[in-house]
Amino acid sequence: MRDTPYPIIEERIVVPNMSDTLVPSDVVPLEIRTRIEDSRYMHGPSIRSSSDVMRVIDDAAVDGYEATLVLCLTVRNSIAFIAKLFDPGRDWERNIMASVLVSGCTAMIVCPYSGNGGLGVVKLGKARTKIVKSAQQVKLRVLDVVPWSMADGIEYASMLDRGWMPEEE
Amino acid sequence: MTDWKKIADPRDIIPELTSRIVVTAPESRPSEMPVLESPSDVWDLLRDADDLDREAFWVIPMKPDGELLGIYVAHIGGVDITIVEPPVVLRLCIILGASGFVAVHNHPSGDASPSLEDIALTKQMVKSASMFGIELVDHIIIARRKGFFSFAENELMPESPVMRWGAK
Repeated sequence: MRDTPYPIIEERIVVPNMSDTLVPSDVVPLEIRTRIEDSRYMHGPSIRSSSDVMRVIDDAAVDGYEATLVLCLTVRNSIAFIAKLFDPGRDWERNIMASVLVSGCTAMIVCPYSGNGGLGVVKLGKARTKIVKSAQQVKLRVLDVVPWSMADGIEYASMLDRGWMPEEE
Repeated sequence: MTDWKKIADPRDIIPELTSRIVVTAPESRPSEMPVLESPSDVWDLLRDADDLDREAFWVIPMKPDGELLGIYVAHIGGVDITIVEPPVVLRLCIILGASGFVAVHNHPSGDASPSLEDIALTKQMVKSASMFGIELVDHIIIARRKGFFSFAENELMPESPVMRWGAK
């Protein structure tokens, strides 16, 4: 299996530190504030390639988080925040984008959870298209889409490794 | 009673050349924030700030009835350009639970006419915000005390928003 390195963008893009400069904490609802604090203080591991993502998925599976995982990444591709979305309803893409925006990040790796339904090619393609289109709409970057499943143990499929991620605009 | 206008005065924060929200804490916020009903209200709010020598970009998030939730300096740029990142604008509106927002920027040249970039930016902001059910009510350009240009008044908004001026 390929293990394509994720590109690291230059640090010319400034990601403001929300807690310091943007939002007085007392005007932000508690649940969002908690998420921001998480993102501020969590210095997560650097994500260099899909194998790092798979380790994150393994940890999530062990912890019982059978959900879409949204890895919100800093400009250095380290994890600032992991959003776990359990309900794939009609607002799925919107909630993914909102998670990234609220965390103060501009890049993401999305790991949709397929339950025990396996990783069919059509399903993978649809998930990738939905996420990439939504991210383009709000000017965020998607480094990879890595669907995962518990059909027969943990399975993953990195769209980037398969060459299925579109070139960034 | 807290003087909301003083709290919201952009001149207080522009020298810092940094992005920050000018929103008061709930306990110090007036029980009723002003309601913006027209582009003129926005002009009244920011006219003293438009003698800047560089471009600035403000976001004014609002409730459905037009009550403002604060004034936010999203970006400060150069003499004739500022780069606006939709994620910065959207993040604020999502966190504050805004139904809509007004975007404002100044033209230090004194000519409030929109550029092609201004028109393209308006389209992009409408498109980005629509994902979250947030409406761009208007994009207003202010020009060195000489007046303002409203995209809504000039029917240049890409889509007709539900939250129109004076529609409450």
